Amino acid sequence: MSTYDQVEIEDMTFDPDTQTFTYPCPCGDKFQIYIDDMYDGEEIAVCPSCSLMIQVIFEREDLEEYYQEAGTAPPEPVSVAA
Amino acid sequence: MIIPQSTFTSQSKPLKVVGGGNFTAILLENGELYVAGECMLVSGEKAPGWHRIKGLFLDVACGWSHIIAVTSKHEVVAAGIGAKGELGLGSINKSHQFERVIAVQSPNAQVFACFYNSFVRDGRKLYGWGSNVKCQVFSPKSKTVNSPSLVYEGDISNVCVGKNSVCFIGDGIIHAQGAMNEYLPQMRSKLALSGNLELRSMWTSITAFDHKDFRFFGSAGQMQDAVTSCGQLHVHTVSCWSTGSEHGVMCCGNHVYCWGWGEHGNCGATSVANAASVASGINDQSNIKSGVNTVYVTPPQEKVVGCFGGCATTWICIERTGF
Repeated sequence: MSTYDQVEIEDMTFDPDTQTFTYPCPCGDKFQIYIDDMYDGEEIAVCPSCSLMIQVIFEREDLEEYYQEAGTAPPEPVSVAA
Repeated sequence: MIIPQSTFTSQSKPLKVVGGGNFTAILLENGELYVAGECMLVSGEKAPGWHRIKGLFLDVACGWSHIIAVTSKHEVVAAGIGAKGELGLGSINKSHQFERVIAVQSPNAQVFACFYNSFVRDGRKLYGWGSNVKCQVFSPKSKTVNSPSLVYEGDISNVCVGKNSVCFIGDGIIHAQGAMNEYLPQMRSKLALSGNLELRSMWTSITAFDHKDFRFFGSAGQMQDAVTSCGQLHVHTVSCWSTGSEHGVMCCGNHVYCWGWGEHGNCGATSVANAASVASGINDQSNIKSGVNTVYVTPPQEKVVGCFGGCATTWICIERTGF
């Protein structure tokens, strides 16, 4: 997948209320990515107003401080019945 | 919009049109400054149309959500939101009105801004502040620099500022700090420094023009480098050119061309555009990655006196006889 840019997680803005990381897009809107999706391995933040995407550079353990800031916990693994 | 719309008229010539993330500022030759869009200088922020900002100004520049200017009293002032220190006002990171940052000594002082950074060239000194995550202001890196910091002292020209980067010619040598530093060896080897050389930044690249050829340094995933291969055009006739967040604009004769990322209609309509869209001006997203594309042809009673790029916006300034 071709992305517009790579951005380190520390350069993004985290909103603890929406639990979303954002970063300015050259169109004037903001790239967005939900913390739980990142915990599940997603690393692509998308812009709601255009086709551009960025790759967020992070390690899973980097998310811990943001979960603490939001007062929430990572999602529990979903158990699949046999 | 995919075709140009008339948005502002004045008897005084626009010197500069600069765009923030969601607002635009126009500086006129008579010193008047106007803003439109979501700019904190305007009460209500979303009040439509252009709003005159009190005072007279010599220069202006915009970052993502802040605006800096040089006043006629030779002071650098800043307003807007500056969580990374880009207002240069110390611990103040939000202001609905222009606040004084520093006084400048040179009558030709200039301001530059992009994203989360501000820079001022005051004679032989270049100051910067704002985000420093890529060492664009100084090394070592830091999250914020909230007051002016001396970047360079010497004979300075051609300052251009991109996302987390600043580039300039200092004492006859090209300097690039921050995100564009990785392209510095390439720029130094490929650019002959002449009096004609002009540098402009998109967010993630630098375009150079010596009035013979364009050269491009940086990311070109959205065809931001298309102007370097427009062999059919006589680029030596370029009368003015500029860059936006990820696109460029230039005027050759009576034609205005755009290239690069045009997803929001900012590089105009191509021949494959929907005819109804072209007629209405509404963007049909037919020109997302744009080659060098004609966006406007002036009729005989018009002359292009300036062209500028903002965040996915293009601005053409036209002198109209008989106005």
